[in-house]
Order: sequence, then C-alpha cells, then structure tokens
Amino acid sequence: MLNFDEELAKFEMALEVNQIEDQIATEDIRDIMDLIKEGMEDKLLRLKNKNDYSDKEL
Amino acid sequence: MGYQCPYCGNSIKYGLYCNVCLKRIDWIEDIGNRSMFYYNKGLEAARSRKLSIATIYLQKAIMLYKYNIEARNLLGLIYFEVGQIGEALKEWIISCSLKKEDNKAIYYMEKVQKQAKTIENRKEAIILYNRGLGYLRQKNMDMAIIRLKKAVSINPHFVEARTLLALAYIEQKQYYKANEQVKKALDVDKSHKMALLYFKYLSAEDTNDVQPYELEYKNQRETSFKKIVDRGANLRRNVVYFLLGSVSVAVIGVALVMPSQMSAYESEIKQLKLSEETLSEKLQTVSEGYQVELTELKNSKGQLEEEVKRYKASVERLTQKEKLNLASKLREQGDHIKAAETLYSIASSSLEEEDVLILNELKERIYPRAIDSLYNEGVDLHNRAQYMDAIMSFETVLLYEPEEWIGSKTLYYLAESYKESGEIDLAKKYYEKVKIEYPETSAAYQANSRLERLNEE
Repeated sequence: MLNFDEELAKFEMALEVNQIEDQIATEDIRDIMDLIKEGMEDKLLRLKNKNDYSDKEL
Repeated sequence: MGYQCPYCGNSIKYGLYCNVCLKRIDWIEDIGNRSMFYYNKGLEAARSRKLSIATIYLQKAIMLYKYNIEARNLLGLIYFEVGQIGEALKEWIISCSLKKEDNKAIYYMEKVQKQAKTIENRKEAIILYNRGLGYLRQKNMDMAIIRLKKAVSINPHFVEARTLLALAYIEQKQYYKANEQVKKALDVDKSHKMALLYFKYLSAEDTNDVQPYELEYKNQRETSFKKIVDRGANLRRNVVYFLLGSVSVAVIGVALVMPSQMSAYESEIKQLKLSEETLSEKLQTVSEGYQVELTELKNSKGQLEEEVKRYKASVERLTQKEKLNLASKLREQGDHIKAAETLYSIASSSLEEEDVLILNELKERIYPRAIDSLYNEGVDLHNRAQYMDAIMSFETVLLYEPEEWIGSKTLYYLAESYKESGEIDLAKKYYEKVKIEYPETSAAYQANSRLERLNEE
C-alpha cells in the first residue's frame, strides 16, 4: 500500500527559468578535485605551521 | 581527455607534474578516468531511455570532475527531455562558463532560444507542476489534478508531472487514469523510480475497467484508430443518417406542422374577410352619409342661387327705377335730351307694372321734346358743316321713333351729312331709306333727286 504523504515528500519543486540565476550564484559547483586540492592545501598549511612551531621550540 | 590543472587551471596531459605550476598532479588522472567512466555509463543509460539512471551517473561524473563538459551537456539534454527546462539551462550555462569555445551547450541554448513558444510552454508547465505540488501538499486534490493535467497536456514528456498526477489519481482510487499516466511516464523514462513503484503497485489493482467516476476519461487510441480505418464507412453512415433525418423532418412537417399552419392561415383569412366586410360596411355608410350631405348641399346651392337671382332682379329693378326717377328729374330740369337718353336705357322688363306705366308715360312726354331738340341741333350742326356731330344727333333722333315728318327729314339730313362728309355709299343708303319708309313726302322727293345725281356721278 502506498503512503501518499511519504511518496509526496519525494517530489521536489522544479527549477523555474527565472530562478536559474540565483541557483547558479548559490550553487557549489566544486568537484572532487577542488575538494582534494583544498584538503591538500589545508594539510600543507597545517604542516607548515607545525614545522614553524617546532623550529621555534628548538 | 585533457585535463585542467586544479592549481593553475592550465590544460595538461597525463604526467606527474604540471608543466606550468610544477605541482604534483598524478592523482588527477584517476579522478578524471572515473568521471569518464560515469559519463559513459550515463550515455549508455540515456541511449536505452533509462534517463533517471543516466542522470545519476552523469551527476557523479561532474561531481568528480566539473570540467567534464560532455557529461554536463548530456545531463542538460536529459533534463530538457524530461521537462526540467530550468535544470537543463542551468547545466548548459555552467558548461558555457567553464568552456567558452567549441561547446555544444552553446548550440543547444541557441536552438532552444529560437523555439520561443516551446520554451514558454515548458516554462508554464513547470509553473503548473509546482502549483499542483503545492495544492497536493494542502490536500486540495481537485485543484492539483487540474494543474497537473494542464502541465502534461502542454508538455507530454514532463515525467515528474505525470508521476505526481498518477500519485494523485492513486490517492483518489482512479487506477485506470493513474495507470495511463504511469505508462506514459515510463515511455519517456524507463528507469523513473517512482513511476516504476507506482506501476508495480497498480499492477495489483484493477486498471482495465473504467470506473464510473473516471468516465470522462476515454482511451483515445482505439477510437482515433477506428476513425482512421473506417473513415469511408463513417461518411456513408453519416450520409444515411442525414437522409433519414431529412425524410423524418419532412414527414413531421407534413403530418404535424403543416395542418396546424394551414388552420392558422385559414383562421387568419377568415379574420381578414370579416375585417374587409366591416370596412366595406363602414365605407358604404360613410359614402351614403356623404351622398346625403351632397344632396343637401346641392339643394342649398339651388336655394342660394334662387335667392341670388331674386336679389339680382330686385337690384335691377331698383336700378331701373332709379333711372326712371332720374329721367323724371331731368325732364323737370328741362334737359329732355338726357332724360330721353335715360329713358331709352331703361329695361322695362325689370320694372314692375306700375313703373312700366310711368315709363311709357314719361316716354310720351319726353321723347317728342327730345326729338325736336335733337333734330334742331342736328340741322344746326349740318348747316355749320359739323357733319359727324350732325350725324350723331340725327341717329339719336331715329332711336326715339319720330313721327313721319321729322322722321323723313331726319333720314334726309342724315344722308346729306354722309354725302357731305364723303360717305357716298351711306348717303345712298339713307336716301333709299327715305324713299322706302317715307314715300310721298317732300323728303322722299328730295332724296330721289339726290340719288339720281349721285348715280350719274
């Protein structure tokens, strides 16, 4: 037996043409590569900071 | 496929380091290959009309590598096919921003912009779908169904709208209609998850019989098919029906309509005849009335004419009587010539008897005196050679019927006056007259000698 409300919840509003501009402006179009790159840069930055701290301690 | 360096954006090929920024990029290739793998899977699914599955693969492909322009363009194409025009344009716009040249997305968008009416319809379909979804969330089924039906009629490939409409029909237990919508949705997208779910659900329900509350919905396919096949038979049947109808109308007209019409006409004719008779009688009455009036008028006219005559007669009588009085006065004044003239002008027929007697009496007294005066005047004028005046006097004498002596002399002098004034013929005439009317008188003898002399000349 189908539950109407549950099924209805699966449907989402369709993107209207006049909403495209706002959607593109707010959408995160980063891909995996961008995330990996950010992650790598972040890791490198933390490593660099750690090295700097160690140097100072020494 | 070529890649872009995630650090500097430079186009690169396989390698360990970027040849521009010299950063390590060996990890890019795996991700790129994976993206292409998903793209290929998506393409394969799209070719077999499993659009929902293709969408998932392609989204993964661009999630791994956003510069996978082919995947993004294909994703946009799939969105366009299932009626999600907003999503389609979004993907193509992003594709164009990532790769500005040699990009199919540009071609797609140009082609779409040329079909303005189609775009408008699809935009309207989306709006109707969103409204339908809103109404369903408010549990307003009827309004939702109206909107969704309109959406799918505008864009028959709008899978989401068809599926949602099917859900609404299922909720209302209109399984036949729901089944129709689900089938059409699956024709477009064979892998639509919810459409498949509803299809499976509906397979357990009775979707072959049209329920009474579904009666306005009929399968158009069979009837339209019949129309195509039996058009000739349809036409013949229609012609036969038309002829039968015409004959029936004619029969009904003759049997029912005409008799009543005829009786209506007859009654109208009777009424008109009655009116005519009434009018004729009125006309006759009026005419008779006029006749009577005319007769009366004629009688009146006759009476008036008589009256006028009598009046005229009395006026005439009075006039003549006045002349009589005038003549009497003139006689008293001694002007016998004018008195005689007045008497001569009186019409004795207009006078009464006693006045006629007076007239005659006056004539006896006045005429002789007038004759003498006029004769003497005429002789005097003749002697003075005023012949024309003399002629007038003598002719006046003759009017009063003079006695023999004066009469003969007057005629003689008259002839003499004409002779002297050159009127020989008239002179001869009066000479003859003297001889005839007063023979054996001295005037006659003189006239005779004058006449002979004239004839000799």
